Amino acid sequence: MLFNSYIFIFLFLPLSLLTYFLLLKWEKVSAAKYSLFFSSLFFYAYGNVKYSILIMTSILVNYYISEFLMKIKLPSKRKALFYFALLFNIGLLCFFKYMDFFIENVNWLFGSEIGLLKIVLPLGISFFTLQQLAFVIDVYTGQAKENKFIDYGLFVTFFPQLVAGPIVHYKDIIPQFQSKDNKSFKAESLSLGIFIFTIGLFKKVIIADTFAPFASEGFKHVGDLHFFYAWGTSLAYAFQIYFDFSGYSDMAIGLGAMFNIKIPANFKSPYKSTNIVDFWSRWHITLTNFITAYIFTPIVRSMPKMTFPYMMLSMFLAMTIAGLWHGAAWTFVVFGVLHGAAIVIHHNWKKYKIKLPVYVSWPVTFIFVSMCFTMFRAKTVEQAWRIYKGMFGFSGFQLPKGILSTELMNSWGIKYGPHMVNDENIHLALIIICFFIVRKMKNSVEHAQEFKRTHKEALVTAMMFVLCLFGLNRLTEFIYFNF
Amino acid sequence: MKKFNSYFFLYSGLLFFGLYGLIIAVDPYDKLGINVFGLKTKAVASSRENKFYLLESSKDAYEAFILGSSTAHKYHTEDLEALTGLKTFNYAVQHTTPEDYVAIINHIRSMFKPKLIVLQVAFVDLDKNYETDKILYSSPLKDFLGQESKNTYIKEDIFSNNYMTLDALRDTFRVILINIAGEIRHQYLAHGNYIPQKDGTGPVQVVQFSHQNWILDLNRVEMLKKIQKECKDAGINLVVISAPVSIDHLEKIQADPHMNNALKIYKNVLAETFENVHDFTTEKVREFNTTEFFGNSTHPTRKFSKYMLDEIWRKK
Repeated sequence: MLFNSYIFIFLFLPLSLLTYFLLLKWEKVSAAKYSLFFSSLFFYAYGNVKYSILIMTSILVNYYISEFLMKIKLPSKRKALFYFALLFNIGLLCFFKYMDFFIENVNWLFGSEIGLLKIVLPLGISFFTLQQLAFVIDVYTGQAKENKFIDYGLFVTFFPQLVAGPIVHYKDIIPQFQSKDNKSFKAESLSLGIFIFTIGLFKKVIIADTFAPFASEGFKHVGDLHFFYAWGTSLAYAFQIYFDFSGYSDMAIGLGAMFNIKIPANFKSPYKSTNIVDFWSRWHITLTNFITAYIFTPIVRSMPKMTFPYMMLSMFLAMTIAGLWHGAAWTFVVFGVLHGAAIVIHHNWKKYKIKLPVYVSWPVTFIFVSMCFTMFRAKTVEQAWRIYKGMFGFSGFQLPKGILSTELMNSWGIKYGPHMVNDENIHLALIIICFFIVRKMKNSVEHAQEFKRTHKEALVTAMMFVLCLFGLNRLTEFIYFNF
Repeated sequence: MKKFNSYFFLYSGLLFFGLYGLIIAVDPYDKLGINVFGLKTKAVASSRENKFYLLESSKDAYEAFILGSSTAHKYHTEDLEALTGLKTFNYAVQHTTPEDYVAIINHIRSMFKPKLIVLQVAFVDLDKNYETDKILYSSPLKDFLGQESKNTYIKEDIFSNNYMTLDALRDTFRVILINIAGEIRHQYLAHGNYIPQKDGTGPVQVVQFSHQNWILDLNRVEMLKKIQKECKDAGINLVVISAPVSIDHLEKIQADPHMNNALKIYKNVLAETFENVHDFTTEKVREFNTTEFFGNSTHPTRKFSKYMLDEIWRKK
């Protein structure tokens, strides 16, 4: 089920809220939690019931392994169980997500013809697997305590964050479900939730979905992409992915707020970043935190020495893994490698006190990030490379129609190029508007902090919401659903 | 503290029903037959209504008719009259498929005894994925639909989700603005001729390129066969033209194996269905690759339309 659908907004969400808070009002706390748990499972299974079997299996295996880990004292047995848990979770992810990628590469390397399994990627598997891995690791290291099954189940399945994050840590979520303060309906929480949800919905439905056809058209015609079109395509996708993903995260946070659950922020104006480390402290923040705690730190600890070069190597490897986490294709590996390399370069510049002025560092960071997202979106590395060629003028230089008069163009020997989509002016206008939004305007976290629940805010929110209602008919999925 | 929630729901309700009510009242796509504000023109050109009533109210005894989609808009009746000596009416309307041609011919034959019909059939006309314009079913032509169409159309109602879209919202305001302060588009002059356009000299923009999933619609082929038979039985000279596209458009089609094959199928269907077919979807258009001859890649100008008629009648 999609957040940006009538059935979710007008049926599922009100019913879930009503059931949950009514049961809490009648002091049926367990029943309320189970109602939310089953609502979340229903949300997940909507469209494909098989998904719910997978997630339930994953929850049960991880929960009971954790229980045993907490009870068993013998180190060798604990270690064996822990490795089994790692194998189970990573194995699940590898099977569903990476098996065909692995087979393709074996076929390419050895000239074999092993048939692909064509496994359908279950929704959200990367997210709920990571969350549970973090929990199991913390249980093994003695940092997590025992929890009731329903609390654990809710932590994994809570529908606002289930399918595409933010990646919540059990320490953030489980105590909130257990807290007495959250057990009653709060009008102010509903207000905040509606406000943030609407911002997210607007970002997705009005902005991201408007960019989508421009980006798609560009990626379909990589051979025809001259300079302006190549940049237009790259920028269109950079904005699409940002507004799509941050919009989803805002909706998740808003929905959480409606249930009195604070879901951590995932984006804080990443396109204002002036260096790559700054970017990753603002983009998909929960993923950055997970990578730091559960991938980078163990890698660093496994290095022979704690020196700068080994730290850099660890960072590079962690980012490469993060790239591969996004998808089973070489483009994602290259995406991770590029970011890893950029972070290493940044740290080296910092070490040698090389600093760029903001008017250089911001465009360099933004252009680098956009180009990495081009790699991210491309079907193959070669496709991305063709777009890069276009962006640097190696595929010709033709202006979109209407920029200058034909006579002037002819006198300078410049031609108008073939046109990609009919609404080039809208594309250009939207890019300019989005530059202003991402550079100058406050992000949703800042808006939420200044939220005062006035009737003026209600009017603006209502206007955005109603506009989005008209946009829900162009049903599109979220980009991060593919992960 | 409770102000926000109450106001939010109140404003949302008011805004939503207000805007949706406005869209219905304007009926920008003429789907409901509503025109509360008495608007002169709607977002989607009401070419079916315009041409229908133009013909109904005309005192001329037309003997020749030009049919087709907007690609046939620019055939000028004077140009055909000069070649044939027959009083001509241009009945080209927007977004047509063979269902429209059946209805239009039925309408024509209900009023006149035509001697000549020039029918321009476009590549998209036979594509199953190119839907028949639903406006046909709410236009006056609905009373002239072929028997095969009478049961297929779906009655639009005010809860149709065609109007719960951003496009409908945008077009509602656009229609209002155009009626207050803008230029009314797609006006037709006497005999169904299009308002004169200034031909340019620049490059031709490739537009409406939507053939990637072309599938032959066999029902429409049957409708074309029916048209041929009825015209032959009634002694009407039916001249069929494959709608031309610019060379860039054609090359894009030919570059894709599926589309290239589809193009061949389309041409074969025309050749096998009609006795008098003239193919202008060919390399011949290469020398006409400016806006003097093509307003955009699918819409020839009057100059090119005249060229086609001259070529056809020169061969005769």
